[in-house]
Amino acid sequence: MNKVRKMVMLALITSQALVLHLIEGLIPVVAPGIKLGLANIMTLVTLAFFGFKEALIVVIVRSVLGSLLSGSVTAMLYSLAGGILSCLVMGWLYFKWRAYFSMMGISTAGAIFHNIGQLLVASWVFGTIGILFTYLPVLTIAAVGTGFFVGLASGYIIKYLEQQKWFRWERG
Amino acid sequence: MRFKVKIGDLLVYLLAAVLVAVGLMGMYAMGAHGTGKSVVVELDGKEVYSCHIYEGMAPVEFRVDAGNGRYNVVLVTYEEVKIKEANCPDQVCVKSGAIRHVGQAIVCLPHRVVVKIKGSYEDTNDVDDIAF
Repeated sequence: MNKVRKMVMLALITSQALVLHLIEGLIPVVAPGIKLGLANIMTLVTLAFFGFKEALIVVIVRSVLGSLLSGSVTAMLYSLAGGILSCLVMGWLYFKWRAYFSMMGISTAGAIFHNIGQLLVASWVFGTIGILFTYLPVLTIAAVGTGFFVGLASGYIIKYLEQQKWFRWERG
Repeated sequence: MRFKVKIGDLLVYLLAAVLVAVGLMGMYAMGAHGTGKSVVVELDGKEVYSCHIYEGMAPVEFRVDAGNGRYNVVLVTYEEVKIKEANCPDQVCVKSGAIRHVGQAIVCLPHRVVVKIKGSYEDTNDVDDIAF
């Protein structure tokens, strides 16, 4: 894949992740912290088609722009911490242990570590580790559910894109 | 197969179960008093006394000795915190009455005594819902 084409594809993927990130903010949540993690679909797609470095860039750009566009800059810290940690874990699982994981498993692990990243930052900001323990159970249970369906969705998208002639890629 | 459940997936769910258990255990270990409000008494900026406020607690009286016979008596009950008695010249701390909420404070300037109600993260939490 030539350089310009790759850049355009990554820009498209980033903008899609951004839109998902923002739409997600409009969906009411049952408890603070629980969200669908739709933007994670695009992270997984980037991992599958481009590679780890590119996925990390997509996550960082999406987090920064998403926080600026949703109007809460404090959210940036949480979003970045969760996004980067989740991307590291998913990249590691995808490139080292892919044979042992389904997309749902990788996505769920990513969702769990997204929460852990956010909670660690929250604990640091509020200066108490209690916040981590209090939210961990409910967020982890939510992550198992949302992670499964996000993994399923990204699995189908990757399967579809692989069959498209216009979407020519090289695995990273 | 991309969609077939594999051995690693089970490990992820195992990790999830462990994390739920760790979280619950952590909450339990922090105890019932760990999440409530507490009173902190400071003398010259140093903490000299603190106690938790919880439902059904017995009223607590604490005498702050500011040196040279100067004192303030702090009364802590579940409902409110006040300085009951003091021998400072202006008596502002006694007249300022009771405080009830997290973040409120009574100050006795002549004795350099501050009585504050502190909260746990639950009381001071202003996490942006979008952020999470």
